[in-house]
Amino acid sequence: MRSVIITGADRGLGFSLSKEYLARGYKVFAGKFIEEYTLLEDLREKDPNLHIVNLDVNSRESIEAARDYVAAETGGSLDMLISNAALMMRVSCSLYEPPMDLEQVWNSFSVNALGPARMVHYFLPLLAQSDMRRLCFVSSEVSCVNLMKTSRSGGFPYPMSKSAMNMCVRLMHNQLYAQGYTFRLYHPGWMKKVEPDGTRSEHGAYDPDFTAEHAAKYFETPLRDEQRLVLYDFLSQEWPY
Amino acid sequence: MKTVLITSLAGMFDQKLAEVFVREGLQVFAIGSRETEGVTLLPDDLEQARAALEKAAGKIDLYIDVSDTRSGADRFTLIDGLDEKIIREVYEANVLWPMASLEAFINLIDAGEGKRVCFLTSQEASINQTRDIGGYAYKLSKAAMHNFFQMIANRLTPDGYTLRVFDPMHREIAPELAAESAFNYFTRRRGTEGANPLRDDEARWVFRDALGREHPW
Repeated sequence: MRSVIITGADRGLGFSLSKEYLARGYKVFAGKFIEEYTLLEDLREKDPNLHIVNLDVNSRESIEAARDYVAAETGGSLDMLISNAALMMRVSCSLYEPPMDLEQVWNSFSVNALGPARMVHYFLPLLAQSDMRRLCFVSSEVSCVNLMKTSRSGGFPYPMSKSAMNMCVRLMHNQLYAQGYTFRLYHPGWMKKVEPDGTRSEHGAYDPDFTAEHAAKYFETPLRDEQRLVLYDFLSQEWPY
Repeated sequence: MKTVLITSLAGMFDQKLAEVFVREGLQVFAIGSRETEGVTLLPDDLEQARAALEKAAGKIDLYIDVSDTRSGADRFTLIDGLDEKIIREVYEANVLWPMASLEAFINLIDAGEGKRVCFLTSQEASINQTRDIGGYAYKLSKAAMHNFFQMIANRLTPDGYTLRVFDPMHREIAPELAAESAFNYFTRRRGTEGANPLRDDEARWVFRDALGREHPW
């Protein structure tokens, strides 16, 4: 039985990916972070292959505890890691309306860019036991410097953190590809926000279930050119990061 | 007289750059305590530095942020595990301080005629080019800044600003040569002289190194 851990699985893309991989027969370790969302608990009642793990990617202790739990449940291995958790806040960063909240810039970087690296580092011993060794990262179009055409009205931290995350994945790829690890970078599109009761917001272009269905296929299927690190979206279009 | 602010004179490139600007007859300000002939020093505290510069010159024509901090301990790889203390230190120096500094001086740059803002980066921080497996602290900080540069360029170019992102090729070529190259790149218009609109190249968003080569982000 294949196994996957998904960070930030309380709602949205992470939750939809959890459903996708349960349907594909995986043992799914879903990272829980937001108390008020109970979609995962409802899903577990229907499918015992879902394991809910408390997981804060900003905390090494939390990641290590999750890893120990996964190791105990799988006999010490893990096939796929999906780094999906991210902080998406708008902070006061307008150049002309000081002061910028620089601690928010750091927090965004620490969760969105360093979180994926912490996850991979601590789960590496488990992934090394798998013949799949698939590392997947949810990025964004806003990580593409050449395509950034707006000033984000001061919302600097998120795009900055996603560009840093791409670099982080690049460095991991440079080291780990030779050891049999394969990588996925994914731009999910502008998704509708999911409320605690499961309803969707008006804003957003895509239902998370739609973009997760595509992501699940893309993450799982071997590619012909695994040596290239490519950012793909839900239409299999390539984005120039 | 044109005024230039160089945000630090800590590195050899920074000092050589200041010397070139003094030689070329600009009024040069720098933050910090390293004495350099012809350079007016400003206090480390950004608010005090801004106030002192405003009193002395009232404007900045050319703003040059030379933040380009590396750490000798920045050698770990993912397998080793990340040294988050080093990552934080480098991020503060290469990202948080430059953001705070630009915010502090932006009104003085608005008041100047040059309206040019310059930053440093390096080829090794190009996502598309780097083949390294380490250097997380430096490379992630600069990757974040590449996006910040673009976002502030989008905000500032409608107001007549131009930006420069420059790789001084630290440890590859002599700082004196890098400083001359930087001076030319920072003070001239990109494209043909005389600002022929058909050959103007300012709208294109690039980073160049001290040998004039362009690199992908």
